[in-house]
Amino acid sequence: MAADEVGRVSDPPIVHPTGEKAGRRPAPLFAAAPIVISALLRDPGAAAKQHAHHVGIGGTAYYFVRGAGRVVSTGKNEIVVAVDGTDGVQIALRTGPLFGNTVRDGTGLLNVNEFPGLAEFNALSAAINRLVETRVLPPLREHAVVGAALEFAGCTEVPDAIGAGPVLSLVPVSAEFR
Amino acid sequence: MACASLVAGLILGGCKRADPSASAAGGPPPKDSKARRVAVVVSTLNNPWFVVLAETARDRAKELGYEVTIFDSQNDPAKESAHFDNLVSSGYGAVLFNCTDASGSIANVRRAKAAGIPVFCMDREITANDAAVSQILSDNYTGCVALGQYFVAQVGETGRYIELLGLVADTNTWNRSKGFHSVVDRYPGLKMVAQQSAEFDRSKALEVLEALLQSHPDINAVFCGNDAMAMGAYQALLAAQKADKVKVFGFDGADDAVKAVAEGKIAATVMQFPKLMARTAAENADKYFKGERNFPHRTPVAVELVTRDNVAKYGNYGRR
Repeated sequence: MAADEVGRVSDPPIVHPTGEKAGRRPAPLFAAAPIVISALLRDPGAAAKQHAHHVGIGGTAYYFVRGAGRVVSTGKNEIVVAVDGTDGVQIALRTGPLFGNTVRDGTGLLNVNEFPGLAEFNALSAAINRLVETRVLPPLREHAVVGAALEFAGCTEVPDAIGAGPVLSLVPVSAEFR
Repeated sequence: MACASLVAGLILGGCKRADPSASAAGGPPPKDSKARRVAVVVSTLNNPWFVVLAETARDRAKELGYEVTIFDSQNDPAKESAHFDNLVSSGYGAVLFNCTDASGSIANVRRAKAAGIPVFCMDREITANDAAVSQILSDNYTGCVALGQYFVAQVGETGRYIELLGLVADTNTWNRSKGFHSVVDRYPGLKMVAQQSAEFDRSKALEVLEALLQSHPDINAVFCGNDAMAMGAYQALLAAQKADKVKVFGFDGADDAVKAVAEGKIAATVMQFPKLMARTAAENADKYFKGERNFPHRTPVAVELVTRDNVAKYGNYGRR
């Protein structure tokens, strides 16, 4: 994989639920948004194989992507962004209520086997979703005006098919306006 | 050949000469007679879903060349404990295990481990990380997040509903309930008017809902932690002439529930894949016998929402 296709997010120390510091672990790989989009438009199956990661047996596959772009529209539960480095291809950043494990599993940072049980691992999903809802989404909604330039990183389930709307719908874990 | 049908609690036994050529790991099963005997200990055989789980585990282990016996715990931790006493003293080589109690069953697994018998959990979790070799578990929480979202789409953002819980000692019960509530509780107009255990049992669900309908006759929906309870709930609603007004949601992907979804009797269920879980547990045991020790402790298995729109894709406890 070419160096420009992936990057590494910063690698903060991870703290176990017990409070014991687990030390630094390898940074997760994320894919650059234009690369994933290009691959998706060419061949969704091949794109998933190359850029997504799976959780468990038969589990959902996720993309963890980072990119930049400009806001083209805002709605009740999403902000649509035209991605830099593409031919105006649009992705959505979800701003509505967040459910499920998209961020927990989508980053690839967290492993069920490092937690006491599924209940604790599931509770983590709810807590992460609340963090995104309280820390990431409010400033994103506040500053998202049409034409605003931003950098983003987010997670999403691999889509079943590419429809007429945005090619990806990310749960943003980071959004910074330039 | 010594058949294990003498063991107390035996319901179904499989005593078959090993077929080394069937081994998935590429070699014959161990020649040691102890290691060639596998016990399948299942929470209950009074529910078709668990029959499928147990029989698939048995059949896959037999294909891999092992002698297999199924033990039915009848949802009774005491019976389960007695089964472990028996299988430890009888010299079984491994246990494919579906527990009755997430914490209470840990002692049984540890007892087997101390006797050198590896345990491979299927579907139901034990809440210990140092006892079983592996745990192959449905991703119940994620399934009920999807079910919760469908529930809101079908029932709307306002309404009154009842939740029928499964066995309170089973973590699946709470993982399902919490996944569902992680979505539905975000809609303050949706009021849960009652939450009661029906112990994953169809008859119990019928009784419980009949009683609850007396005090809550105006509900819009019933969320059930498994399909057996969903079918019992549907029967109660039918008897109360409310089946066409109250939407029922289940979980499991049991054949009768999938059929009920197709017929519009039940709004949705979530397909688990018991055959996949059982086969994987049996194959892990086979690999363990052959020297593999590097197993992920817990492996989630994906589940899928089944609605009237996609029900044609499902049946026979999986995808068609």
